[in-house]
Amino acid sequence: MKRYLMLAALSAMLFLMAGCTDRQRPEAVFAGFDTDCETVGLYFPGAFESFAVDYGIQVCINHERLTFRLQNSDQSEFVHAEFSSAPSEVSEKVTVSVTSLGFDLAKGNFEMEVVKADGERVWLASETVNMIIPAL
Amino acid sequence: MKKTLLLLLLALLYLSKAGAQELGANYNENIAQPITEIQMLRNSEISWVRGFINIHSEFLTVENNVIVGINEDAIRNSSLSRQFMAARASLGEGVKFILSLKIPFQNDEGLVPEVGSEACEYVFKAARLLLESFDMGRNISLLVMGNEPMWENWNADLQSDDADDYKDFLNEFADRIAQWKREEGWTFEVFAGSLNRISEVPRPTIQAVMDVVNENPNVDGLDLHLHCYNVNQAENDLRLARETYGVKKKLICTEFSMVRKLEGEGQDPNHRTASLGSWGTSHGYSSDMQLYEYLDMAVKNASAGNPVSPDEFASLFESFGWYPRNWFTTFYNAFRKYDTYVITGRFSVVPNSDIYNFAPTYTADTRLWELGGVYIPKLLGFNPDGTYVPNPLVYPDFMAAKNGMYIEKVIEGQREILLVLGNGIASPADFTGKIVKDGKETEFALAEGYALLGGLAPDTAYSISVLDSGNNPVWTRTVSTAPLRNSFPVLKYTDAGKYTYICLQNLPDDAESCRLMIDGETTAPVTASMEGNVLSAEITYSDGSVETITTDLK
Repeated sequence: MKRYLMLAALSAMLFLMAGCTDRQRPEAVFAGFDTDCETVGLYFPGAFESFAVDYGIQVCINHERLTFRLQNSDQSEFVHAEFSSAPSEVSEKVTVSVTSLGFDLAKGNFEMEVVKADGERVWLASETVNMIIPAL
Repeated sequence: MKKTLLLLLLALLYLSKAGAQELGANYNENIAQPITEIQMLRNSEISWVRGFINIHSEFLTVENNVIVGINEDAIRNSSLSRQFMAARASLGEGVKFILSLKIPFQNDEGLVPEVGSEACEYVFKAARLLLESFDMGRNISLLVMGNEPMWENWNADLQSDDADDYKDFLNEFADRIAQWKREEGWTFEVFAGSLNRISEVPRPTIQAVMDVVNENPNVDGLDLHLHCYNVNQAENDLRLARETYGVKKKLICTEFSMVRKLEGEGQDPNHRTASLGSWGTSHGYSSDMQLYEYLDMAVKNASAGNPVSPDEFASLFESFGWYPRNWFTTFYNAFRKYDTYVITGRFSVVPNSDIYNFAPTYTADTRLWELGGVYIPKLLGFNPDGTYVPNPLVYPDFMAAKNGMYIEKVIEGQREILLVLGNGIASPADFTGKIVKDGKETEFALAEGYALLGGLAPDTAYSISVLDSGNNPVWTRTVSTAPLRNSFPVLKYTDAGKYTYICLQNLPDDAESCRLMIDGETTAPVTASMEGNVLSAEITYSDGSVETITTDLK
């Protein structure tokens, strides 16, 4: 009986996780930074929040100026990040200067660490925000 | 003969001097309605949507007829605001929104609160919070302070509308709003009003509002309501505003109807009880059937999927000697003559319209507001494709007005202004454009269907005219470009009716060139079709760097 109950609980949990959007995924996934996720965006560990590419979201890149910006079409929400160098190698640390609207957790200067890179995208982690950005 | 020709020519020149009005859709208090009929609004190619919110009843806390606070949660979570702004987001910047603030003080102790009083501060606080909520302040193009104050401040027991306090209140309100606009970067225009029936109703508040419009630099214009008994009253009210009260600023009219004539008023009998007479017998009805019974039947038939035909509906009203035929056109000509900037009439009357506070059935006392709608599916049903059946009493005149317009839409960018030409300009080559800034005139050409004016400065007012082949202005308007919001470029695409307008906003001064693309192929900023999957832009800066902006279209 116990085994059936455990199986049922596990099935329910898997079902819920499969049906969730990025914004709704449980804390446990973000706390460890879901590096399987490939959607460009910002992910806030523990805050149950993300700002990721979706219909109507604009991705802005300037390779020479090392800037990445994600914004909605009326800029009521945006995050503009300027990198000290082009992040590309795992374990590399970069300083990011962030200007944002609508995301108090992503503001000011902070250090981020590259936790994954595949040539097209780079996964960057910090204490308050994780990012998946196109390679600069 | 010569004299007649000269008179005709003079009349034509007089009419052609103005005509800068744009057509819109009014929803009154039903501001949750436009989001439910986005496609109809798009199909009709209107340029404005207007509704009002009753600040007093929705958001103020009143004890013993004294305003003692505001309900901040109600403002922040207002489903009305949310749905109004959802419609704004759906329709895009090609359709501008007007919000009127209804603030009736007639039941408050002392009527209009004195400037400086706690009650007055609560009203201002509620208004500011409302504009902040759902980013309303940024998404409306025009705010009207008040809604028929000559009725809504009038206390019959006191025989007063407290005009002096209202004038002080309006002046302070306009000044506060100007301050909020500066602080928040809001760009909407501010109007006073709305004054209804000014040539008929001698209320002191009318003069008070006119004084504020004429004297306060923070007020951009006056909103009039024309709910008329006599079809000539529209012109009388507009003339009175312009000539007697001396209003030189913009005029708009956000509500207009012939409802009082349709119902019968004063010396008239109640027209709702008019018998169908010989028209009835020749159309298969009893001659004794009364108009309200016919309307009630029409609603029930429409609901059952068997509506009466628009032709029959129109012919019934045309059979009544008292019916003011083509009243919409008569009003429209008056709007043109007195240079009314925007007019928003009732747009649609849908089935189960209890949301309009109207009864689902017609009686001898039912108000006949619904007959002024451009579309009346409640009475005439739906087309097979689900669109609304137009009102034959209004729609032909509405379309004639629309088809005669020189400029159908004006879309203000930051460094560009798009004019979408109306059918009144059949051959653009026969017209020229003129743009004036600080006394310097520049001519521009009209392309087929539109004119895109570029190289403009942000947050700057320009006088724009369209001139016919005789060099006579047929359309003139002062248009302000939008201000830069920050230095981060954003890609915008706007449904401009016949076209989609693509532009980049917030372009910094060091941006040297831009390229717009759909699926990687260069596209023009004004395009008739927006087929593709990815919209993007490349901005080249003076340091040689290139920024790309990409967004999915599907």
